[in-house]
Amino acid sequence: MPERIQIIEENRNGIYIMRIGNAVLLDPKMADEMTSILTQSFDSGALKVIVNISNVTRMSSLFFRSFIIAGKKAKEKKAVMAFCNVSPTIRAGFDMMGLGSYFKIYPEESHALENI
Amino acid sequence: MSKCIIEKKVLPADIEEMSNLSDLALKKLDIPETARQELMMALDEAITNIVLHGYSGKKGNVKIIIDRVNDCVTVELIDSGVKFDPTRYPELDVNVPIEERKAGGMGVELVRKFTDETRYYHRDGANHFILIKKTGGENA
Repeated sequence: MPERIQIIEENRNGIYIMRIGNAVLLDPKMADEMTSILTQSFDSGALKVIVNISNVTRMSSLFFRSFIIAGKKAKEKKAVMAFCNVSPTIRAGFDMMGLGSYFKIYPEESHALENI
Repeated sequence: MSKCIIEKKVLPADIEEMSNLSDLALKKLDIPETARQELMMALDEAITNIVLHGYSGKKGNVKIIIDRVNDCVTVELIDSGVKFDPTRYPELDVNVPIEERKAGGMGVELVRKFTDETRYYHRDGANHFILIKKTGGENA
């Protein structure tokens, strides 16, 4: 059975960092869970969220959809969501979907913290 | 060895296992790293589409035949779900603002973009979706 989504959350000076522990993001229920966690963070007042996907090697469009829903919520709340440590293949996926310009994508978490 | 066959009755919770078995097969066939990762992104979408849409989340048989001939990898997915030709699905217009986009279509687009060619035929009640990827001579 697939695992549940594994997220380590940290609040650093008002910036929420969500580090995803799973290597493979394919499970539909996990995608729903991801959508829920991200949108709830904006509903709870987070204004800056960094999603660190350094461990993720494969990801399906269900998760791109999850990020789009969360991105819309962020915009609605005048908040910002950014990504960091994205593998070249997943980065290519972001660009193919036209999401590479919609979201800020930083090479490292430290860059994201400095620039978000 | 140049051919691997994976066959399993799958539910949505089994997508990851099916994907991992396919990834293992590509590794056994010495598919170079970049080509393997890109092909897996496409294959994951194809498997997900079959399970969620072809079989509407109910248990259904998925057969995957992976074949490597020189610098070309062919992956054929066979299922008996709803007849669906992904090659005829409209292209996703990525210039449409995110806020105005309709749901769906991203998976098929990823399959197209991460492969060099896709083919489809329907025979004896089964969908045959074929993904072709050139490995470009990259070392494994």
